[in-house]
Amino acid sequence: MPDDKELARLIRRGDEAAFRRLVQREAPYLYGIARALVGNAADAEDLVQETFAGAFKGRYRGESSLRTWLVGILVRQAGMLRRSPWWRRRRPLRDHDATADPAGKVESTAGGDASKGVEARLDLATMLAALSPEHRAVIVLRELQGMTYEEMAAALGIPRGTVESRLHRAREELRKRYKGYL
Amino acid sequence: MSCTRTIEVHRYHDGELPPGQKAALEAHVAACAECSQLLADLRSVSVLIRRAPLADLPADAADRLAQCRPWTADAGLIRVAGWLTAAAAAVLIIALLRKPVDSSPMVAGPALWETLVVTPSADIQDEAISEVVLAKWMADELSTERTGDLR
Repeated sequence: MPDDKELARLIRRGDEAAFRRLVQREAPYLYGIARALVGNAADAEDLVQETFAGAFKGRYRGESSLRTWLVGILVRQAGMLRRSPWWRRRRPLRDHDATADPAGKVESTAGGDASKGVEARLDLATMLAALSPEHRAVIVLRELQGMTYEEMAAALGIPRGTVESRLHRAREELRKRYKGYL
Repeated sequence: MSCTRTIEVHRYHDGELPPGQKAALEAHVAACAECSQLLADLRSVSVLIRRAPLADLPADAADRLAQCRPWTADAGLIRVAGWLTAAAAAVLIIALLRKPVDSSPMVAGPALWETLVVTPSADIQDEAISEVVLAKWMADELSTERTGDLR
């Protein structure tokens, strides 16, 4: 099994089998993140496809895991999609279908917090649906990819101070909204 | 929220607080109920997000993604770019071959009268080149240029 750098190198050389391996390995995760970022299934699938296309054109330097690098591309693609006039026009029709989709369910599993008896687990798309798209992006990069403020600023092309303020506001919103789960 | 150090609590939670400030903030959090609660909540929010299940990739979407071939689109672009480059090179060669041979130099040197005006040599000054002769040469040069322009 090639490591991330070798896999990226093979893909850049046009190795179809390596590309298939990457898609098989990363598509489910990227799709889950994409759903949390854009809400609806069609846009999420488009985003994942664009991410793989971007990965083929870009250069992976091995500074982070291949997955983190791909999520960075995904988040930037989501930002571009959001800014496109086409998406803005269709937004009322396309935005968050989480409630009408299995992604919008609250998963309940036995065990967990004894005081609650049942541990209710929100899925990521539902949790982040309460946030603005910009706030979703910083939460994903920080909480799921463990990026530093500087790395997030570079990935999003925004100042470090903006990263911090978005992150703080996003967390305050989540803190208020999901108080019962904390 | 009234405490002024909440931003530091966020930074501490993210591992972004400079090492020299950690101990002081920890002491503050131990004494400040608001910051203590904030830190506990930030930790819980992080855990909640990290444990949150992701939406499942639908089987049909997985099939479509498996079929995508990013290099195919690129190969098409590269092929078209190659054709365009070849076409541009052919047009350039034809243009060069068809260009009439021009014997005149690309950049004309200064006219004699210009040289004489700016660098008068001692022997010329001494001898025959009077202002009248210079004026005549200038007039001749200008009339030649005008004729050339009209041609």
